[in-house]
Amino acid sequence: MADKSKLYESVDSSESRKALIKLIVVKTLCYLFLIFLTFMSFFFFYLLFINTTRSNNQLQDGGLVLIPSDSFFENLHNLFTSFRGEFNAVIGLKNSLIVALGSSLLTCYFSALTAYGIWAYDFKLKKAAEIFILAIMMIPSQLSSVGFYQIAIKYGFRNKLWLLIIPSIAAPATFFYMIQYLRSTVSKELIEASRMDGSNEFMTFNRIVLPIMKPALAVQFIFSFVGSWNNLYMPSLLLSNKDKKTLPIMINALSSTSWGSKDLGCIYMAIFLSIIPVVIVYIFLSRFIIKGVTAGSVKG
Amino acid sequence: MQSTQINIENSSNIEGLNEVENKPKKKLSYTKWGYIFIASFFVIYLIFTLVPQLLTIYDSFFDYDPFSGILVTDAHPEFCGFLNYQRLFQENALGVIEIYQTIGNTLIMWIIGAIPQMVIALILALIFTSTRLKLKGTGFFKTAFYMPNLIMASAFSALFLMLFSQIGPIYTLFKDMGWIPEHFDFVVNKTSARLMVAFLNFIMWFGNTTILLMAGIQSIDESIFESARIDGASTRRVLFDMTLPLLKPIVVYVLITSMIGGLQMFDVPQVLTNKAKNSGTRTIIMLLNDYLNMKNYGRAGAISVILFIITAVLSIFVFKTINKKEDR
Amino acid sequence: MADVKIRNLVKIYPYIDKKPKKGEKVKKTNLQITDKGVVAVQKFNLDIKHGEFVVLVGPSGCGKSTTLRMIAGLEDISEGDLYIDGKLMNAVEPKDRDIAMVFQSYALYPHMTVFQNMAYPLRILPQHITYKFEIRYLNNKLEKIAHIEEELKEKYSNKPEKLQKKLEKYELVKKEAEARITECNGLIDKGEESYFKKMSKDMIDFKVREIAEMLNISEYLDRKPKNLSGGQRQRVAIGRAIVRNPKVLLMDEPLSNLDAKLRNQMRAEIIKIRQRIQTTFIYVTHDQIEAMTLGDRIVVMKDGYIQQVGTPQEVFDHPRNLFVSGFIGIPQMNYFDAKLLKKEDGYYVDINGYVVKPSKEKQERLKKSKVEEQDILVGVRPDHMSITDKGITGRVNVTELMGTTSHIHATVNNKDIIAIVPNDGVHVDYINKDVTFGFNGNVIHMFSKENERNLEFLSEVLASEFRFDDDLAKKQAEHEKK
Repeated sequence: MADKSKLYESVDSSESRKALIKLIVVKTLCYLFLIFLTFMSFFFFYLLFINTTRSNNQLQDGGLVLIPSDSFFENLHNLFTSFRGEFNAVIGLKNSLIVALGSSLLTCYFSALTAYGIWAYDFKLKKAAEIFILAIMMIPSQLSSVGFYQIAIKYGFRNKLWLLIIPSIAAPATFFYMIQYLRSTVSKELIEASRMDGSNEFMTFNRIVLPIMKPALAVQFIFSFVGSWNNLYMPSLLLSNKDKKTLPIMINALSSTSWGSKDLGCIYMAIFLSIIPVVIVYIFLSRFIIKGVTAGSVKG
Repeated sequence: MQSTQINIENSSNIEGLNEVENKPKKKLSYTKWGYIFIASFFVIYLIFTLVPQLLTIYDSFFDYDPFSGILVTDAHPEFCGFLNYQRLFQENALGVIEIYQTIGNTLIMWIIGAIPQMVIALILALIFTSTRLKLKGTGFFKTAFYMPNLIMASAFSALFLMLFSQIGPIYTLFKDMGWIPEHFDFVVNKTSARLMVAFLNFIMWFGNTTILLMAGIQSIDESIFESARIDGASTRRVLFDMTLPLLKPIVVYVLITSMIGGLQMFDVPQVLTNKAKNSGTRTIIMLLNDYLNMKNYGRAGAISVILFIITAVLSIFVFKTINKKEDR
Repeated sequence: MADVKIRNLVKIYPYIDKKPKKGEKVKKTNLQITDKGVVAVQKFNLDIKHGEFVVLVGPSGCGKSTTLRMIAGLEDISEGDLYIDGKLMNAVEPKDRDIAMVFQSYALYPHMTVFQNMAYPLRILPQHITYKFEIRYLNNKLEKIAHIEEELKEKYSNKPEKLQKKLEKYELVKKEAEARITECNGLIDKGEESYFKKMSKDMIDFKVREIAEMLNISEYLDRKPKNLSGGQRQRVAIGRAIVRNPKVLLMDEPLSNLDAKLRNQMRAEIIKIRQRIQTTFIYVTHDQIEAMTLGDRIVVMKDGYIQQVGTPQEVFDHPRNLFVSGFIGIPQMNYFDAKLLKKEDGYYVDINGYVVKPSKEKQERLKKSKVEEQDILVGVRPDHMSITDKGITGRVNVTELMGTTSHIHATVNNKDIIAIVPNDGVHVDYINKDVTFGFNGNVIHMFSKENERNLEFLSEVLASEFRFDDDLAKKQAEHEKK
């Protein structure tokens, strides 16, 4: 308020009027720039949505159309029933959901558990353990993929979904976030109080610490879920069975150079179906997620 | 008053206590719980990550190549020293050194995506945090810019592939405008394919970078800017003398982590250009993937190790910038 | 209720990273440093009786909290023994020690309501349920049933059949409860007090509400801790601690997070609580007022050593050394360099020519301790100084009007002293004037310059040097001789 009134008072002098005009111009340019970038971010998804509403015939004709048509449900229906391609929506959704849910739940619980173990107790290897986890955080996942793939083949573990789920128990980055959260928000007196009140150590973790860590768990759950949901590299190596493929593998298989023979409406719908769960989650939790991005970045 | 100040209750009690004392004394210790709580992480890491990692490195010294000089069966690879590494740096049948080609591709696509991304993210971060401009709706814009980061990269790429295909709407638009020659194929042409990959990476990551840089700017003490302004610095001077130098560690951090991520680029070029067999967008991970599918674990292992070494060097840079930040 | 015996308790914090090299400075500390680590508590000996209220007091870093945490089982015991109710507790987990603790930061579980916070200890472990409590609980249940019955009677007044059916259900419960009450009464008559069992949900509810009422927090039971004020949180923390009738209640600076006014209120509250629940209290504080007002006995600590143990009165009137004399009492005691003179008719204290004869009692104690003539420090509390004609003279710098009294700050022989004089209606401006202060022989405290001990008690075994072992060994030797 104070700023504004000052602004009006000083409008009289030509100098400040100049400054004001300059500010307005700059502001307008900024908004134009922002709107342009927003357009860029959304335009392709908008096109995707439009194309899911158009029939194969309309799509095969080509051309840029910006108005939705009426074949959305037809495409959806066709995708689930008659679409003969690499994309099996029911199986893909199911497998993706199993892997993403399973691995993000394990990541959250065990990262919190490990972080709590290092934070709450004093033991000889405490510091060494933390430094080790920090160090392995930077190792690219590809380094293990060759050996992992080989072992999976050797022991007949290909096409087992649990093989994608179990390793997420050891998630260094999530661990790091959790231990920072513990350090900044939970008081050790709380743990001691719980001990005095009669809990054993696991009870203290499950009943006192986990509920307090809910915000951190939620953020990490979302990131881990999205990461797993979108992951192509490891699943594509391990899952070759038709009934075990996840959505990204199916999407990868869809890509082709000749589209003429395919039901394009269904393919657009398949893409739409793969991204829509995450978009819906994002619409509801965006504020939360963006906070998580910043919090996760304040490393070191 | 003359006796001790501490009232000891009388002797019958004390003898009783003494008996208890003779029993071996245990100590109350929570140490074991620390180990119990972190055990699962380390066991799983050992089995599912560390062992495979060591196996990868081990593999890289064995010859799995069915076409190599020392022919062996799949089951009994033979030790071959650094042969796998040497082969990677030799020309293949097409006269291309694959490792240079793929690393080169990866870096080119990363650079043409990351540089504009950094510049635009910096501009966005500056105008979002500007106390002069006081822009409205920054929350909405941030949300909008971050969204593509969460979209499945393969799905996003598949969408691009279709939109830019010969019957896709964007292709049609470009053709109608006369911007491209007849029968132009976006994913086959080296330059356009690389630009598409870079553009996709740009769209997916600029929001993320913006948020990180904003956090960086907000972590700088506001009074520094205020005192600079009172000292007579113009907006431009404050930007170049204060904001950017103070922001440098974060920019370096973001750039290097982005580069580490960029080296692992796979989903986008794989979906977008793999079917088109475009050699200009083949990344190092795609090369690794191809060797894996051929079950040439030796060569794949060697690529992984090289990638690991590059990443390790870059990571040390990251830690150094972080430490510098702490010194400040 | 239980007694607590602490025998030669020692806490050594081992070096976590590296042993400091020779000559390397460790963090500023007066604590003893040995090869094993930093000694935070030195051979601590204390017997606490049933139902006693003991306050550990001392400046920060004196080891009082560490001692408390060792009693609680949150910190392991490096050396020595801890007995609660005659049982060795060294290796017993806190949950099995039958003790409760109130923390400085309250440590309320932020995700639970007040009710859930207080019910938590009852829900997870079996408790000692006294028969008296169970009778209270059952009576309450009967009252509730009676209330419901009346409501039903009103509701179904025109349908006697339905009413009969409904009432039958309650009849059974009523009978059961009444039978149990007689049973409990019988057991009490036999001298039984309690039994050990997990409480039922209803019983927990009753117990929590009972305690909540006692602490005046009944209206907040459904709130989360963040919606409570500091004082309310404090009450909840106390409630959570006493809800399971602990044998020993430990309190770690429970009032230090409160503002001055609330602190006074809560202090009175704690005294009230103490009167209502029968338990042994061990209370840690750095605030001497809390120590003086709450404790039956106070234990003054410094640098890991016990300095003095005694009733508040004893500690205030007869501080055993310079530290205790300075630590207890606000404003701090004034000290003067003096000479102790031994004449035929007794001891005299000569402060720069101002000669005071210690009181009779003091004379006797000095004689018993065989104190020789020497240079000493004489301590006099500000309240015991008065403005007189004969005494020591100093220049007044500042006077503070406190209401019924004034604090006069003066410099005597280059030492700053404070005197508290009553405001009796005659206002004199003392500032920048020379004033003479005097005091009598009852109120002086004489300290050795050599070891800072109170000369009257020189022959006494020092609290910090007292070793239980020695005593035990002697007694055992005597026992064997017989």
